[in-house]
Amino acid sequence: MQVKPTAMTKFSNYIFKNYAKDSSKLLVHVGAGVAVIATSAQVGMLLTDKKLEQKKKNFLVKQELMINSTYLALYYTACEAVRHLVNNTIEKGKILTESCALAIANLKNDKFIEPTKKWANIFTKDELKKGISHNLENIENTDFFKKSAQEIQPRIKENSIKALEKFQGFKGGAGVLSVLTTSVIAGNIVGVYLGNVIATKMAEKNHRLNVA
Amino acid sequence: MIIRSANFEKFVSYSGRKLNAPAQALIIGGTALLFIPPINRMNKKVDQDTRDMAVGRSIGKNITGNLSDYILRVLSIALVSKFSKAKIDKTKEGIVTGISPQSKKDIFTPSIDKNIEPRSIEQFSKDYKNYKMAMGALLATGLAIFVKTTIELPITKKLTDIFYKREKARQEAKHHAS
Repeated sequence: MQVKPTAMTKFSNYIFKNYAKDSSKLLVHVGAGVAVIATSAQVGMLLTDKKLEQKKKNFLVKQELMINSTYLALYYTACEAVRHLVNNTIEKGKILTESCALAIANLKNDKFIEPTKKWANIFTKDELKKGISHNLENIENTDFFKKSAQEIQPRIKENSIKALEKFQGFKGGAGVLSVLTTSVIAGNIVGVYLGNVIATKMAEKNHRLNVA
Repeated sequence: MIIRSANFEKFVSYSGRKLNAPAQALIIGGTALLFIPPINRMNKKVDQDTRDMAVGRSIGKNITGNLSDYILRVLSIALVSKFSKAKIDKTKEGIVTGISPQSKKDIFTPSIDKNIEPRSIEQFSKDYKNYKMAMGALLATGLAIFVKTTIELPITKKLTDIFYKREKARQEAKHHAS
């Protein structure tokens, strides 16, 4: 049943196209969204707390804002940078697992002596610039496919789907692991430390101004 | 570089399948509890009482915040799963060519009949599970605006008081001992 596209369907289609294959992208975006909401709520709570003495409130509000701004800036930039780096490295084939290399090398079901080395000869340099996923998804546009005998082309198409699944399983896992590791280091260690340093300096400056 | 360890590959692929948005809340929350209080404790440039409060707040805030994120994400993903039943069009070779809602209730089901990337039914099932996780996590982020300002704040405040008092007592005991 094909439905008439509503705003919700368009939104669902957009999420499906953009996040179904790349869970790491979702983790970065959701993490950043939640951090903004949580910071606003926490600052609101501190500002409306009448029991908290002014000096302590000043520091805690600055600490909350500084830690979370630093967290967000570091988290987003570091996670996005690492995610792109990992994706590009894997898509260009600079890091690959043996089973992915084998799956690509054996698109024709040939038996290579050293198939893991052979995989790199399947795509041209220009094709590889577009990424392994792109080439496996559009295998019929590659030189390798066009030059292959017509009778084995259906087999190559079938094998390219299997190779793509294997490849994306590895790429997805590497993306998720790198994003989570980066978010812990950037958000829970470096961001907190820097946020504390900045908030303390701001509080000291304010204190000096108040005394003067 | 070719990675030849089959166990490493299994671990990476397993992580990609299992480490989703709810797991992210638990990992971020757990490591926050491990690292943030000691970092706040080391900030000797603020007075002891402010430092104790900062430590108490970091514990209270991270327990409540990440636990509520986890619960919200799990519930939202369950809700999305309930309303995203799909009718899948596929070729006789098992290649998915389209997806549409099973009924009008399935408001979270995408409707794509062309331009769908060709993939096997097995891969499609994995991708569709990821999609439900993504949609659930986004719904949870929207709901977080309400939950964080109403339910979470009073609990954070109560937990902060408890951990502030404990930190104060801990520091006093340490002071007396030395």
